[in-house]
Amino acid sequence: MLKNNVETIVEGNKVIYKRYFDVPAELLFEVWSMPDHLSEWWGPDGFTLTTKNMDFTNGGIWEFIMHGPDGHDYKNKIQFTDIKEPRYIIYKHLGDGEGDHDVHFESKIIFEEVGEGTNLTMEQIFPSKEELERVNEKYGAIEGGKQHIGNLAKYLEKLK
Amino acid sequence: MNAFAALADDTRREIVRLVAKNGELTSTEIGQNFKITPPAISHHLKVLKSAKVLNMKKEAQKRIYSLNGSSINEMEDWILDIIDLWNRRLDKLDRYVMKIKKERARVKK
Repeated sequence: MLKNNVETIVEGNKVIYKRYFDVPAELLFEVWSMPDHLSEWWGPDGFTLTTKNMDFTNGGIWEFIMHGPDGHDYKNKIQFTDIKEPRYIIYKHLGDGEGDHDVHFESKIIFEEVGEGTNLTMEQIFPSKEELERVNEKYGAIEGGKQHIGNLAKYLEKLK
Repeated sequence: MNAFAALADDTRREIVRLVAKNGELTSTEIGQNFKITPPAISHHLKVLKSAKVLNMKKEAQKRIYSLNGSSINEMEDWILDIIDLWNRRLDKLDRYVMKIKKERARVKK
């Protein structure tokens, strides 16, 4: 994988994100595993994050609230199903725990060292394959535009 | 997004696949494709209908099921939002780890 390479692939009932980070795997793993770090990057722009409790062990639960810029609170519940430092983290998203938006998808985050840096591969597995295949058709066109915006944003960051 | 929860079940996914392929099917026709009891089928159909994955219309004694297009679109949009969210989140993660890397390098010097 090339440096700064960002790829998003929709495949069957999976979305796969691939990225290169110019830091050791230990550091990437660290920022995934501690509430103080997570609150710095997990929330979308304009959001803040409060961790209610976090048990970063196999079977452990992470419950947190994302506070939106519009004053809305979004509850989230995640269960870590398999952790191996600093190789991978597998977790299930248990929705908001209130039943309304309960989406049980699973994510695998895999860290692979490449020289000084790390390739991160994240797989999200959704319950329905058909949905994702349909999305895939739409997705090409939409993603093209988004990548463009993402690249522009990155470029502007550099100019700061 | 009840639709996803509804589709987390294998039998219900099969039912949706079947209905999508045929356009319209009666509950009897759906049931003929499965080895489970009619009450079990009818329960699954009820779940899919209340999650708005399937539409149901009654004609005489028949219940006819079809795919609910707007709900499917909603799911698509939802997944696209998730993908967009994660791409931005990983951008943010990238900036954050680079910041930490710099800070730690400074401390070492």
